Amino acid sequence: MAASAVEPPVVEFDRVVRQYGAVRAVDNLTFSIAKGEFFALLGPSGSGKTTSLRLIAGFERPDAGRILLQGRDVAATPPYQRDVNTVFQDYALFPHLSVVDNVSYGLRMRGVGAAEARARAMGHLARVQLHGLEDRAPSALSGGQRQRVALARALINEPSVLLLDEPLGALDLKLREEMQTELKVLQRAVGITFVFVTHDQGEALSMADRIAVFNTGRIEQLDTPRILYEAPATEFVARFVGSANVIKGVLADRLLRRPGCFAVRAEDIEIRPASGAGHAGTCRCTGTVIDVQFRGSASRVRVNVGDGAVLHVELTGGSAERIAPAIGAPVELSWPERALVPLRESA
Amino acid sequence: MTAAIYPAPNRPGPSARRVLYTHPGLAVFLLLLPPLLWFGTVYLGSLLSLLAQSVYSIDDFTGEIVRVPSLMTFRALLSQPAHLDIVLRTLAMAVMVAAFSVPIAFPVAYFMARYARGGIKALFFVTVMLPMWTSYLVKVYAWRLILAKQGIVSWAFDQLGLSAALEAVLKLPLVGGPSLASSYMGMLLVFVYMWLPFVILPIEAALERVPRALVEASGDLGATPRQTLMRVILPLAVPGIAAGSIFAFSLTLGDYIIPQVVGAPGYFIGMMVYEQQGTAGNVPLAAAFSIVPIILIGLYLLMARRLGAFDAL
Repeated sequence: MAASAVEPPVVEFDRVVRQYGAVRAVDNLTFSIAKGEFFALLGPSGSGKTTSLRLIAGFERPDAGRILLQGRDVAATPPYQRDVNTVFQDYALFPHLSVVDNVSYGLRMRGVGAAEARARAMGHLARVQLHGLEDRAPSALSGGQRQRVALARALINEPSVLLLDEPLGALDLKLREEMQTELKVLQRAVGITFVFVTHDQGEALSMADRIAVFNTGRIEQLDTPRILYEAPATEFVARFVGSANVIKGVLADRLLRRPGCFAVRAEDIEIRPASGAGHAGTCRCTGTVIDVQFRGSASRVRVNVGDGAVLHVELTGGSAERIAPAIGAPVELSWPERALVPLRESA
Repeated sequence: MTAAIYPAPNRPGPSARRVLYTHPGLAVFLLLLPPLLWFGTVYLGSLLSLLAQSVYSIDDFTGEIVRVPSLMTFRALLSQPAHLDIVLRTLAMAVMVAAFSVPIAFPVAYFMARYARGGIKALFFVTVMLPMWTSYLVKVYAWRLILAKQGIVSWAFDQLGLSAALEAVLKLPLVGGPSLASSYMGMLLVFVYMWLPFVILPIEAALERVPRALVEASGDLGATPRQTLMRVILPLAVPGIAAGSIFAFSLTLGDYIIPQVVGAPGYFIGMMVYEQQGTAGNVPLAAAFSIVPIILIGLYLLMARRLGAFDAL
């Protein structure tokens, strides 16, 4: 960490605004990304995460504020002069070029000779396990293979920052999980800063060193995955990142006997058949089971706790079988006091 | 009650519907029959019956058509230097029109496809197509007046003190002439003007289909805007450029009005067809001349395919 005091951040946003008509897609953003970080921009669609990525790449220009790459203001630097490369959402492979020509494109544009560019591209293709496919057209590849070509093409210029715009969005679940691990390994191997846009909180939590949670053009919270999950700062983060139960307003008065806004994670709530017996040191309430969702390793139970309020309870394999709540059954919910996380209400 | 809501699946229905449903090929055939009949008999039929005339010949003494298949007419077409001149003149003009149209059309199409939005885009489309909604003859005669010796172009050159430059250009051999209206240069100008919409629109459509992400990816990888144009946008627009240039080429080959009204004297293929089947009454020769553009366009398409113009389709 001592090094970061000397070295400027790889990416730095300083009160950046990007406006489309009356809508502020990016609203006064200030944050920075350190060298070598695996950084995720997480948020729902329209929250400004993709716009932020495009601002770093140079496809968009800020309406106000400064963007610095390695300490240098890039206000007047077009994309082709930035030391940044992008893996596009739908890969954006050139359909009229073969796989190897796609990968060597960046080198060719920088004046590397045809033979050397091809040789280096072949090396990169081997690294993403695509040897033998170099003369194919992109249209003759599977989704996962195209993704690897896009990765190799973006890495060949050895940028200081690699931007990834929902790179796994178009892949099916199994491949997505494989690629998550692979990307993480690759990032450690090349040592390049990865900035990763996703709307999938699971993906962000499992891959990123730090996550910026976006909502309506602003960052709600910027922290490590563990802190985001265990100590969400706002209602939005609690719901979006942890899919936690949020208890506030009238419900907080009734269930917790205090005002405010709190998060309780579904797996921290204990469920048992209604008995009427009290448990010391715990908060509790009663309700009826609305439905039970079986999800393999866990089950998710929705419980109506009165006045239309619903709490989610997550049961892991064993306990789900033991309790097996039936729909419509009266149940008792309880959770330890320490499971309550006080939240700031989101704007 | 339930029966009304969920009718039994095997309810007997009109038998024609069932036959069409179980034989989808028959349905397609019935749908295509009327247009195919129209196209096949009226359009292709009349064309083929005209072309078939080319194997007949004309009796030089009586002026009667000899209905005996022979290659006499083709021999007459190829053996006379005047006829070959007509073919070469028309071909050269068609190539020049195609070559000049594309560089003029491309920037317009590029702006329409990549920059124009909303009202501006609509305005561009209307302006490009507007000339196609006015009478062809009126436009040609208007151009003759514009390019005439006392026309607005000469006047403008006069006012700018550049008449000497215009004179010098008109003195050039082959392309020059007594005035713009009676030179090949003027004819080229009018041809290019006439066919420009047919060149702009396919190029615009091709550019429209180039995803923005590809242009961004190229820049992202370090390509300057010029490199992106040459390496990504142009190659992907080639089918549109080929289509546009084929329009300009083939429309020029077949035209018989513009060469009559504007430009240097000298016959074009279209004029020859018009005259041979009309005043001269030599339908076989007219038919033989009609085959020439068909062959030339076929060669042009073949060449375009060899150059890979349709690979991306």
